[in-house]
Amino acid sequence: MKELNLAFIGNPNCGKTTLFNAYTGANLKVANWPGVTIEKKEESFDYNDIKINVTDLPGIYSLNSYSIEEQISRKYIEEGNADIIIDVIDASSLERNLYLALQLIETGQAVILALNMMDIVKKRGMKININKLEDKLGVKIIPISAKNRSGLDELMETAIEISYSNKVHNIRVKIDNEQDITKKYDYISQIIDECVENKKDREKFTDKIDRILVNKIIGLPIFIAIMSIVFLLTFTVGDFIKEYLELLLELFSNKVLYILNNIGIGPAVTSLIVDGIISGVGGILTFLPNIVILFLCLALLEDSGYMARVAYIMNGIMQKLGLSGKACIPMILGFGCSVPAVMATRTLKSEKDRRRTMLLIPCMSCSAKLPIYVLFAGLFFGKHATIVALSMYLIGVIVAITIGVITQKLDKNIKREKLIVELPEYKIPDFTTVRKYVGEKVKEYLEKAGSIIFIASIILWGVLNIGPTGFVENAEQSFGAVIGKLLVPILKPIGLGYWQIAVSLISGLSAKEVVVASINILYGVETSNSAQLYTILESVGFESLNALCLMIFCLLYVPCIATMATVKNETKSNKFTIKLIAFQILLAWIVTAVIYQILNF
Amino acid sequence: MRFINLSEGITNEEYIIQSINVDKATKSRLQVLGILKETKIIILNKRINGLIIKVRGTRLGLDKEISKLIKIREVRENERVKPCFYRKS
Repeated sequence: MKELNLAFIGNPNCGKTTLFNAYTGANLKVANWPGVTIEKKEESFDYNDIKINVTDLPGIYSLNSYSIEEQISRKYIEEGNADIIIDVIDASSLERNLYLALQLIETGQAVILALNMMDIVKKRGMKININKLEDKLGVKIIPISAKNRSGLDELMETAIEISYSNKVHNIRVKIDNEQDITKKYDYISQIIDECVENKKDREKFTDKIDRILVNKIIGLPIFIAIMSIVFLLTFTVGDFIKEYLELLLELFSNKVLYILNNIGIGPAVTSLIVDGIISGVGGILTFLPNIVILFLCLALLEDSGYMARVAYIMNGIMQKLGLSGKACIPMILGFGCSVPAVMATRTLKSEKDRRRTMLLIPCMSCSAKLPIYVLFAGLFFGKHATIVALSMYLIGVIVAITIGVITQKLDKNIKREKLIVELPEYKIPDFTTVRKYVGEKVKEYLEKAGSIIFIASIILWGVLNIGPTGFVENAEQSFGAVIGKLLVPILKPIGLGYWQIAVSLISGLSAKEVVVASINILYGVETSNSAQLYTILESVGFESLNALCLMIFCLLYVPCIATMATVKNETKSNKFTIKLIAFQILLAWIVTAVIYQILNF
Repeated sequence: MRFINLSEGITNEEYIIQSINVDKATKSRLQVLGILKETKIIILNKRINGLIIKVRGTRLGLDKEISKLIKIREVRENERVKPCFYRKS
């Protein structure tokens, strides 16, 4: 079977990944801000008995190697990995997109231009004379709409056709100097004059919205309000649905207990299933509604085009931290999950900025910490639960700002990257994109519940039921207690001097949700029976202040293993990763100690 | 013809870039986005720490520090005919 290697290349946010997904059926993340794709991705599919290998490259503005992304793409082209390069062009922003196109054509590589977003162009009443444009550029141009899947066959057929006639060229990537760039843009404006009709601006929609959302005075308050609403919805609506899930789970747990007892399963196995697995994993599943709503809100923010505006609005505040407004995007993503957030720091140009942003990301409460807040705020703060849970987010942000300001003061050599960010047009969030995004997150969450949390629950059950003397009746004599008690003296000054809490904090390193799962198991609470947990905790002197301290400590202490591994991967530095871990533990301890000691006074 | 800094421009007005005096790396980044001498721009929004310009059909958010180092001039009457973009030979 013949094979054909295609590479999708183009400006950021021009729809490469949408096109890649359309062809390959992959579910790679797409959103409406520049820089979503940070790694090259490869997939294959069969087309008319030809095996097509496609590579989706991160978006770039030029081949001049200013950023990591540009270096990746440039290297990819220079090595001649692709038979044909498909330059995806945002037709609604043709003029700027043609610069990269000219550079690509110049390399000598076979290039096809895929003129994407033709639907938007048509809607705007713009007309592009494709034939004339082809004449001017000397390459094939295929109008497509990746979103509506139109023109995809034509594009693929053209690629195959060209692959038969195309001879291998000498690929040479040239770095443009100022003169070259000016020359190219001169030529482009001439092309635009001749090939584009009615280029009158009709994007009034975006300008109108921007007049409010990035307004000098109300822009920042609106951003804060939007984020507050996101978290408020997460807690209120999420909790509302959660209550019903809890009822369902309790019914299920009782049913299982009844069946296991009836078919004569031994008490040890019954205990493992009911007290270990259902209590641990099931308890976590009840938080799914909160998670869904949080990610739904983030998806809407990302797909609407607002995300890039956040970088612009927050530039002033980030400047005080010695960072560019762009560092704000990974931090917002951090409210969802720290792993993609750490990876998203690649959009920052300097390694130093990346590391400083990674230091701040764990302070953004990720979705895994949400169950901890929901549970403990709900148990100990009654009708103020939502405010307490929301305040965790605020505390995280305040701590992040403080760290940012201090590290900036300490380091005199910080050269702040100056903000240059493309602001895409607003659009109504695409239903399919949002559904896939949320679906992907739900899948991840369930997988986590089924793997890490499942295994952690079993291990925990084992650690609590087996001790130095063998099988133990009382958890006080278990290995868990032995380990936990070692840490009690350290945790006492921060109000968490209970061996059970110590064990749950250790187990929380695997994933933060495990803290909640393990507390249920540790205190022998039946599935998500929060009233019972409250009674038990109260009886050992664990009160609202202790709960607050637990939440704050969980907010700030070491992120989960997956995040630490990502930090290690991204920075390629063991030293930095270890420093980060030590720093987070110390930070969490100090902040919690201060709060506990002051409020306990 | 009077030159002013981009940061001093007025919102919704069109201007033409006269010079870009930022550091080399930033300048290169601006250039590939089509921000070159004689390029026509419109200021869409201004904030304390930055501004949004429209250049070659795209909106860009720029740091104020950058906008202080770009010199612009007003558009002459005879240059107004061509929308979006104009370059003098």
